[in-house]
Amino acid sequence: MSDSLFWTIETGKPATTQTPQFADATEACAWLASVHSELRVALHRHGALYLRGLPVRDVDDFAKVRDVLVPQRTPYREKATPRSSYGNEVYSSTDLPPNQAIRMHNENSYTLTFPGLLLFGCLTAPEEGGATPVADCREVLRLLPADLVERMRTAGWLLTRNYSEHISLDWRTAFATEHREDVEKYCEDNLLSCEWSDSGALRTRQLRPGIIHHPETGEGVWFNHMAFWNAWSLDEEVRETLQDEFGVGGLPFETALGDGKPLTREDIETINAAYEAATLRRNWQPGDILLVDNILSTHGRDPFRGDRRIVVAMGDPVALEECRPTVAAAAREEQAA
Amino acid sequence: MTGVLEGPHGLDATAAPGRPVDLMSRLLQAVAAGPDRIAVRDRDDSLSFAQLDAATADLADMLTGSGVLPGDRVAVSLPRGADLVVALLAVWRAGAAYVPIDPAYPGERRHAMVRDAGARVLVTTAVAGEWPSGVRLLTVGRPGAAVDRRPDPPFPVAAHAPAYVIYTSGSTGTPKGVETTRGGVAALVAALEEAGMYAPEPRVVAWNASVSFDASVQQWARVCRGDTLVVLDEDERTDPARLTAALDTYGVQDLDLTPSHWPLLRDELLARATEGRALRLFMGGEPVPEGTWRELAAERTAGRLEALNLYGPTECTVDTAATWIDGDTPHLGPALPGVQAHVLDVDLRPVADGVEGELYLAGAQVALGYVNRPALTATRFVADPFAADGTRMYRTGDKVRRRADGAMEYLGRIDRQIKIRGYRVELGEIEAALTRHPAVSAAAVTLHHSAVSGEQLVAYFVASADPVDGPPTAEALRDQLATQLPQFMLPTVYTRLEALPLTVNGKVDLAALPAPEENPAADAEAAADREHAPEGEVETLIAAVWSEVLGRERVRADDDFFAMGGHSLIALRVVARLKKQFGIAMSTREVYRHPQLRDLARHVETLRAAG
Repeated sequence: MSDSLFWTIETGKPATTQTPQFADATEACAWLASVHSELRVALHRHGALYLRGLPVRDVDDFAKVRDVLVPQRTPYREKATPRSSYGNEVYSSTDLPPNQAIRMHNENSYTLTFPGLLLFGCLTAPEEGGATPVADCREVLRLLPADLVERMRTAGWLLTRNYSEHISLDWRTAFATEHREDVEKYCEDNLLSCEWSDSGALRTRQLRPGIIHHPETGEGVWFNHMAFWNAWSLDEEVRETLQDEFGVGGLPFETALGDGKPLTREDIETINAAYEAATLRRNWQPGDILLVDNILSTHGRDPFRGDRRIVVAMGDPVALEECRPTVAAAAREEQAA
Repeated sequence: MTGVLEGPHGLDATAAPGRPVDLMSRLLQAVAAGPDRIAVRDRDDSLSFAQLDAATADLADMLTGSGVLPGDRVAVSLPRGADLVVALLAVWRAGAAYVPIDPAYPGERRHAMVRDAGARVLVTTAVAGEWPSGVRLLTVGRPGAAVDRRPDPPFPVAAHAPAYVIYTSGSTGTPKGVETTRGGVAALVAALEEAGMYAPEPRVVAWNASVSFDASVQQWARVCRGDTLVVLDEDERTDPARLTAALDTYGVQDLDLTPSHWPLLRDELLARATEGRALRLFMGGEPVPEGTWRELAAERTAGRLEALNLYGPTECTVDTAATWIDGDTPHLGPALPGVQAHVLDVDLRPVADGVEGELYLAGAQVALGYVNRPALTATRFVADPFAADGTRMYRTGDKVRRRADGAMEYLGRIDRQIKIRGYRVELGEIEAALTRHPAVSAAAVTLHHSAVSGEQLVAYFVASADPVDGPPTAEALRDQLATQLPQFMLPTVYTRLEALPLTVNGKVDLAALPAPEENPAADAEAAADREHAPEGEVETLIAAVWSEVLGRERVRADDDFFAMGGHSLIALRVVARLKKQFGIAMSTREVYRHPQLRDLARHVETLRAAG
């Protein structure tokens, strides 16, 4: 039973297996359970796996597959992008407009626990584009220049969020509460600093390690949202408009290295180039399943045209502490620049 | 008008149970019964009954201190929120009548309303726009944390004291202000209670209607009877997902909406109802289409949504007939308790049941009349020959037929007042505005129904003999109208004619006007796209950004930002391009406040003109 999987490795594409034919999702799930340990080994090796040929036609089918592959679910916390819930803890992958690319990131790299596994499923494939690219974070770490890696290893990265009422998410949505005390309690428990302005606006700051180790394989990985949310990753037009409206330092998301020294445009371009060099992608077909080890692999989204319905489930929660962080997570109070 | 003075503080100690008393006394009872219960909430704030009592008393003090006397008219121009409720109640508390003025209306119309109402005090926000000189501006404050002294009681008023002035479209070209009474509003609330439309126990009530539209009164005034009022903001009113989120968050039980609004909310509301979240819908403002009626009747039968069809002219204080939406055919309910409905022929003789006639209404809800328009008031509010006690009845201009069971069938308008998207529009007012353009000598406006474009206002005009710059373009006419009329009154099609067709009596023969051009190929979508194609450089620029961010080939001038996802990227890029192209500094917030592309473009044009 362990010789049933054959992985196709093509340049620029994630490791992919063509599954046997099954009558329905239940039959497919029985098979998935039988190859579960083999999938686990392959996942640690490749970081992300593409399964093609499963009879996954709707959210219910997807939920059945999820129950086999991702037994322990995690909810979506400290929300940062719009998603729709399809119920049963299955979410739309993202509701951002189709022709916007979403940069590479590790899900919830900024929270104290994060999903260890992500499962994507394609219910409707777009006419054009719309892949979910992945990049091996061990490879990203290898590709980055030593000085940048060293700064991250010793200082970690800093995330500042300003919750505006109309751009990005307001705090009530992000924290799913109407009450300030709930936010304050959450921040205290989860190592975020939390400041309210006179006008009732919220700013949170958190220091996180940007390099961690996979709890099972022990390998070091570049694991953060630093480039994803940095102002230099925005195109000039959007960056300048945000700075006009919110002021430099007041953007909905701001990132920096924990050492207080500025990140230059070149630093961010270097990181984005490393992600790009490690990126693998395959266009979706209906029924495709993508299993991602969230610590070993980033994911993103390509722009697309046409209807696209990709569902996602997250699970196998991992605590940051299990990952030998190089810097301890901490709340970070406002500091003089 | 009974003209009977009520007792001290508006309470009538001798009132029989169920007899309407002034709503301020009802409010005080609600405050005493549950000072810590939530009275009003919006997205940012909530006020307990005690806080509402204190805040309204404070503002009423300020109003009185600013020279407001009982019976005065006080203009209120505030964005939707708890403060708006505080302001309306404070005006009543000071014994005055409020005049709601939508901050989004063009300056010319806002000024005309303030001047016509003779308001000397205006309650508005700190960032007030331009107002006529001599008008004193007040802002809503919140009392300090510790309120030691007991709030002053409301100024006692008579039943015929004015409650509010609401402007409706007028046939002679200027809007007319309908002035209602405090006794009329109290009677309305009592009637809806007696008819079982307002539940006996306090409920959580969402307020959706614009404060400029009198259906708002039937929602917001309920706070006086102890209901908790949820003020929906512009986002929640325009975005079905946000609306349903608000309904769930606040546990809303009652919601008001126009039948035109139903198709937009239908999917979300039906889905909620299926999940067992009941809701009572207060539907009014225009006739309920048959399809909507049947759908809602089925909901009621299934024990899910329960909907009411409310009917009433502004001149008779919001609602005069009400019925549960039930059965197969749309109809108006029987008259509410306290309202006398007469179906009469041209000689004011009652017609038999089943025979078409004009509807006349009498009772305590009949308004005082039109502000500064005694002649018009006299023609519309006539002596009531049935009461024969000197009271008046209002001539609605609505054609109806009474059924044997007392319900009525609505058969349309007798004059040329129409409703479009829930707004009452006198076509003559648009025509008058058109003929104010120097290059237009005559104009006619009709409401056109078509399968392709739905309901739209169509303008026909004749160019002056020697216009200086040639005959005006559609764009020029629309721009000119936009400075005088609210958006819902702007025609979408402008057709130039050599002359208007006339009937033998010399009146414009509306039936002989050519239908607006339609694409016979029935390519409905393409025709609608052409109809609403972005015009002018600002609309074109904004459309280009929307289309780029969303990856859509076609964007229309009537497209809505929220309907298209409300993505912040759109707002950001629009702001960036406008700055680059035209040097306009604007915040993304303004994009959110003008969700329709065409409105946003108009706002940008205003900024350009000002800059």
